[in-house]
Amino acid sequence: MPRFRRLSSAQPGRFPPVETGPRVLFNSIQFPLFLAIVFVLYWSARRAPLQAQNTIVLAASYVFYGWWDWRFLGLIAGSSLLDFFLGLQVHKQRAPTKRKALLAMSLLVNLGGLAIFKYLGFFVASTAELLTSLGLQPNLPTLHIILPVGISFYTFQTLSYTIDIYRRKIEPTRDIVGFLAFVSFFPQLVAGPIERAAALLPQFLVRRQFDVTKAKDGLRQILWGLFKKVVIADNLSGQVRAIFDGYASLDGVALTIGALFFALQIYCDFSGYSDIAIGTARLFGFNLTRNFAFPYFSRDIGEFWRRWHISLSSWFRDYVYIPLGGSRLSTASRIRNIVITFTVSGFWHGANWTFIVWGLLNGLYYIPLMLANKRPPDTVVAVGRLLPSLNELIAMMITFALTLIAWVFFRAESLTHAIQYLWRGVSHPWLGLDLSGYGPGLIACAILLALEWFQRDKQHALELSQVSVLPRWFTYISVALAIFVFGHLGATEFIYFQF
Amino acid sequence: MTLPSTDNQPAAPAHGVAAADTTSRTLMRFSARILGFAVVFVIAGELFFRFAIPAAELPISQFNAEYKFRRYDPAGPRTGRFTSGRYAQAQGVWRVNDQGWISHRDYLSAKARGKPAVAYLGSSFVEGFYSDLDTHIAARMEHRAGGKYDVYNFGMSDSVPSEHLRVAAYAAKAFEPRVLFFFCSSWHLAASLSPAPGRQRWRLEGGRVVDRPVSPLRSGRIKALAKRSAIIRYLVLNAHWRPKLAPANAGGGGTVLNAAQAGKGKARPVAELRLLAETMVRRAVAQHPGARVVVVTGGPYASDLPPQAPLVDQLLAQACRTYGAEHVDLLPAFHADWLQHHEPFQYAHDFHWNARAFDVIAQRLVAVVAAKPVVAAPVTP
Repeated sequence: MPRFRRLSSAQPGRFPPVETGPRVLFNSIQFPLFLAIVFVLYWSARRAPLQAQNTIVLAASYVFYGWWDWRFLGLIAGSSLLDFFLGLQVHKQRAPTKRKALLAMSLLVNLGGLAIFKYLGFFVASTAELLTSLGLQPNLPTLHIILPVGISFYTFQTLSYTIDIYRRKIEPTRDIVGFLAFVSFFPQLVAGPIERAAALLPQFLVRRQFDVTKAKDGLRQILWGLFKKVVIADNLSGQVRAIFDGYASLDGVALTIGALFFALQIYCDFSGYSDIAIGTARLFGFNLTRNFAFPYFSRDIGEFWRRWHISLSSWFRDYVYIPLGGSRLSTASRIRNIVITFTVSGFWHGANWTFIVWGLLNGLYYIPLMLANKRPPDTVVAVGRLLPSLNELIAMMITFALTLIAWVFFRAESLTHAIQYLWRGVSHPWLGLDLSGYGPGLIACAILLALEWFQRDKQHALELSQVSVLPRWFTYISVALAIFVFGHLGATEFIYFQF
Repeated sequence: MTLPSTDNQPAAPAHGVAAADTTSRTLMRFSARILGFAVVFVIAGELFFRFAIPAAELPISQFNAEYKFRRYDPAGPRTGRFTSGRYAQAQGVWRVNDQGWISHRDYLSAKARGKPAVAYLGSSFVEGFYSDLDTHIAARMEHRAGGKYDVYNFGMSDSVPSEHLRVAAYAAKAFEPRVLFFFCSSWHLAASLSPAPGRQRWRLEGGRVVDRPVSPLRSGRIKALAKRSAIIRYLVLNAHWRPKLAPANAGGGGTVLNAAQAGKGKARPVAELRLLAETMVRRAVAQHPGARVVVVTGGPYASDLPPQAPLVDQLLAQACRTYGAEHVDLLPAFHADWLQHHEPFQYAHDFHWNARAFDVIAQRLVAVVAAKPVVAAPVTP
């Protein structure tokens, strides 16, 4: 059995603030330089044939990705080419069986690659554990397989392309450069948003016009994403690690703070990445899917999943839940579909039981809503009001508390760790520990949530186009200075890169 | 859904020129706006990091072409405020004396001062940027010794043992100190092998240590401008931010070769460390006949005080016994003081020695000096 070196420094189930080497991370010094060069080249080619701009995007994306490890360029290029040609064939074929076979080939290759790179080690280890618990002594090899960064994201993106062609929702493109650029588009390549071909691919096939309003807002969104990542997420990560590692000596209050910090850490880390991705894409005239919509102001878990990692939630809805029968079946089948969808969603995050239980738990949270036939609210909370009503506040707090419990599983190293963490919090609610060390983190969380609350009907918290110039610029300068003063500037990796 | 085809769009739109000009102008305006923001941000940042959270100020390094070592330029800024920590928590006022060293006093020749002098050489750990001049080792030693002798500080940021020897040769000739304390942080011994401009470094050749040629230290305009920028000084000196354009320790740089880490990463083999320690001590003794050569070890440490001296310190102690130098291990003094006062010896945000450590060191070194009579250097008429 071949043995591979694990390349990704992040391991599923672990959240180290990884100090990285020379990579083009969004929060590294290289990124603004890279972005400026690509921006100039890209818009310089605006009068050339469209292929030129797409070629620049493609080259930039492959440089961006190859910076991590050039060996995986072959993987992404191979996967893209395969889906490009399969897409054409699926469209051309009339015979349903042949169409189905071609689709199956796409699924097999894409999901097979994902299974090998991401899950094989987990399955081998789990099998070994199972056999050992049965008294057998398995001699299975320990696999250390390199996890290509972003494989889960771009695999889902290419899958949606072939599936949508199969469903006759879209027609395939014959523009190979445009398609390759669509799959590898560097702003969203390694951690999404997971774009559908129907939404993003057409943008590669028409001439982009420079839109100054869009570009300016893109810069604001980049600034806000960077703030969330380097100021909030990276500063909380140390305390989260300390609390989760040392949970056995802490009380329920400290452990609740730990879960709260992790909830904010992962939100700021991931939504920060998404903001930078969306903002960067806007500089090049592209619109990416909104990925987060202030999820912690949700009034029920259904609304939460409409606001959290929207591109993934909708992907699972369209390609897993609905094909399983969706909501048109019996109650038992709907429950089964919900549980399957959420569990698979958990498993997508990583090869670890903690993610599976996290997904399962969210599925269980969803069932009462489904049974009550309650549709998640479509509007933002407390529209036109400064504060929420008491009912809204209670609903938001209950939803947030439920997500906190689930986040403990997501963050824990193992199921035992998660259960002991939760049990410790219940069995030792208050030991009179000195909690003053958590003060700055709590203040940072409160400030962040307050800012987002006031901007909850906007796309992001720095969308201040209605504000006059002076306070607006004062805000931008303050946020930029805060990044310098409070930010972790060592280019720590984004959590979602490991997925 | 039918996707559009790029085949139909080979070039710019038909109404081309006017539209393209508009886009060009928009792009120019956008770029100007970004530039405008950058200028406003730089101005705001320069003000903020000068007055609200003052960035550390540093004197300017100067290369002594005669002795080939670095010191500070007496023609440059003579005083300033060094801050450390993200919020400029620790602040100390520095002063560059006429001779180009951080000190509360100017250095005098043996004839002019008329009393003995003690010198110490080391890196930023003894240089004393982080605290006020009256708390420095030199000031504390003079105070504790009741002014019986002058204490001259020849500490310099980033200086390593190979460089200490260069500076010591100059110090001996210019000021004739009777006692020379060489602070050899276990972090720095192996760094003597890493080449750096303006610094005496060594290399290993056939199992021997030989001197690398010293290239002059040149400060380019960009570097000088960067040093003037409060934003850059804040990022580098207060936030300790180093853009990772190259892998850590690329080119053999870096000083994280603590003995405690021997065997890990790029740490040197013990035989090499022993050779470096022996070279350091042997050369120091040979270079300063008639003066007391005292090698000082004992920190600083990246974390808590270790229970016993790290390997490099032990190797240095052994070399001192072999070559007839004196050795002072500060670790017992730190342990004793910690047991009594429970006060840290390093800053919370930075592991350079603080004023407390300086006082403990001064106390220990004054005792070492007092153990043997200090005779003023013979004054030649």
